[in-house]
Amino acid sequence: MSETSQSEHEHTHNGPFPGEKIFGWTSHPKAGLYVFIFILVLAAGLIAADFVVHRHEYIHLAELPIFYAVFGFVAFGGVVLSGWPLRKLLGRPENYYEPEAEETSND
Amino acid sequence: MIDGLQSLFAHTNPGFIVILAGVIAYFARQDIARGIVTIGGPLLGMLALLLHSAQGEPLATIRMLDLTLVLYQVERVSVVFGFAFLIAAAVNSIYALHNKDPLQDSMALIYAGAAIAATFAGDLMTVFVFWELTAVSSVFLILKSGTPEAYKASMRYLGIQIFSGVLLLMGSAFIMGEFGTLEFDAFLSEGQGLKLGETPGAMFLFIALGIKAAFPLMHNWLQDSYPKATHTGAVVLSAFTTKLAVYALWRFFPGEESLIWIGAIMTVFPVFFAVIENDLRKVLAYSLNNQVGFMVCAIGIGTPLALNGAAAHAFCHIIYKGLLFMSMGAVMYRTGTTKATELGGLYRTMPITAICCLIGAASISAFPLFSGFAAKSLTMSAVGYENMAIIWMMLLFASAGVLEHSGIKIPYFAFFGHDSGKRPKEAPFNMILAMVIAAVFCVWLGFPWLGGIDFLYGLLPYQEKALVYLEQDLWTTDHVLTQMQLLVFAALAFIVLNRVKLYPPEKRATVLDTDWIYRRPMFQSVTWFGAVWEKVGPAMTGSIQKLSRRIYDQIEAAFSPQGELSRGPLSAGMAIWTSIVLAFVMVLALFAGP
Repeated sequence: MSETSQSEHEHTHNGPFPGEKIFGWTSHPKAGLYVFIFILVLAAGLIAADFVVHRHEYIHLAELPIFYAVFGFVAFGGVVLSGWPLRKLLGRPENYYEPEAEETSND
Repeated sequence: MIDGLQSLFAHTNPGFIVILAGVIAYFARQDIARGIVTIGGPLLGMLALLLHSAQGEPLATIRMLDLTLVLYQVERVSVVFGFAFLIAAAVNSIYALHNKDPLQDSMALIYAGAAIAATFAGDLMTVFVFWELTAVSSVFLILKSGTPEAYKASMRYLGIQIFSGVLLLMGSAFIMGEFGTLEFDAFLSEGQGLKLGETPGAMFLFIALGIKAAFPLMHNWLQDSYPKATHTGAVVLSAFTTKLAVYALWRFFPGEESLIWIGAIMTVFPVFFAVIENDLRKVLAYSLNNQVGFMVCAIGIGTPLALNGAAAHAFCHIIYKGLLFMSMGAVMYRTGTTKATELGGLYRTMPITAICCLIGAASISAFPLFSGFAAKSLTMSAVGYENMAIIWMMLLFASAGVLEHSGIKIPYFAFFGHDSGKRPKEAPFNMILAMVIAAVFCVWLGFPWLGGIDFLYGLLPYQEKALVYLEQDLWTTDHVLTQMQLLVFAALAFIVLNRVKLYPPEKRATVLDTDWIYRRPMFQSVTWFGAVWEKVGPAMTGSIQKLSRRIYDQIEAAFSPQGELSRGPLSAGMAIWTSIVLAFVMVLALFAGP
């Protein structure tokens, strides 16, 4: 039993599409750069604020300047970079459990 | 007449109303009539809950098999979970309106109703009955996918869930032996639960709940089954089973110290699996694990602030996790897949789904002004107040991880990222309506001055503590600043790694998890043993017969009507329930076909 409406609803025409009014800017060739700059400026502002706002911490380590910023960057980076060795260790072909089956899930 | 109705509602477990609606929905063959029943049932359930006449005392009881079954008892914490379940049931019904499938609609409501009924039960036997009902009804939501993989996964799911129920029943038997009753009031007092070392029953209950809550190493039934459910089924599944277990842990094991570490590990390990998983619904299943970990950890800490945190987190999580599953369900419905490698750029034609997904992503990531911030802060502060530095760091690490898999990966790979060239239609109106309602809840429960946070905190079990926290801690400048630092710098790491091509590209693959143990070595061992037995079995017939006779005599001595284990009322109940469960499973197997 098919659970999808793919065959009856999928369109292939070339726009303009309704979502482009709101999100169209994300497809601009320099969108990535602009977002990067925006996040950098925001990050710089948050670092500056760290030296102005008095923080009340219960965990001593968190009293270090810009602790949360460094922790967020390193934790996120560590998780993402761990993906490389983990995929080698745990990744198997898609039909690993069901070699005779055609496709997994509903697609 | 009105007084009579009011009295009836005041003494009726809201779960019963939802279950009844589920049964009616199966027979309502007209789509409009079924829609009215499936949405009306949870709404009537909410009305019943609002009208409940008292808290902390039995509102409906029956006597059966020498046991008093407390069918309806309202506690402050059960109101939090019950309300969230009822909201989820109503929203899910709207989301599934386009389904022309009475069986699935019916089973979704019976499943939700069973979870709600268990939440408002006042004794272990009633919990057990509805616990098993959640298992046997929810399996249809996986089976109805209709694929061979879904069939196999649903059987694995059913086996594990029924096993959890059997452990619950065994735990109940021990509790019965020790306390002479199964009523909660006899062995639980406010904020005080069972102690693991003191009674074997507690250990059985703990493992039963651990399976349902998907503790580490017991977790993989969740990632195995939920992503194989139907596009509406996964949304329903995400709300109830694990949160029912969290509720039960809250009632039975508040302050149980082992839960602190179990919960903390639960928050951390799924983060690594989620980063390499290609199926976005499976990513959400890992994310579910991670979120439940925060709740489990908070229950382990056991202070009023932490217990408030667990309840608030469950309330918000049920809604924002449902929203994320709904957005992926819409993608699945329109494109036929949720694999990151086959998606991207869907914002063009599915902008409303994309916006709702982004709101769900912001909520689960605990951005200030969204519901996750209001909920998770309670737990993080509770850990900080107890000065548990390592646990606190683990939870902080997991918070950055949540942003990776649910905050960025889900919306980015589905709606943005590389253009897959797919141009599906926007989700159907009913799906959009359900997603918008859930998104409004996410904002309402997180944005100050809208009243949502006051509502949520006012609902919490330790209301005064919650309101003091809201007034003095939640919106302090340093709290908002540090949370923003964590999230913005994590997002910065994503952009940097993406720009320098160090972000691992999505790949079609199977990621091994603990299910490998029983799907590969155990399965192969059994197959090998079967082959060997076929060859050597006939030669060993004589000695095997003798051994079998001995084992049979031992079993007979224990289990026969005159045996050790057949004394007392619970064994009769056990036999009846075992038969019922067995019969149900057989019907199910018959229904499912080969």
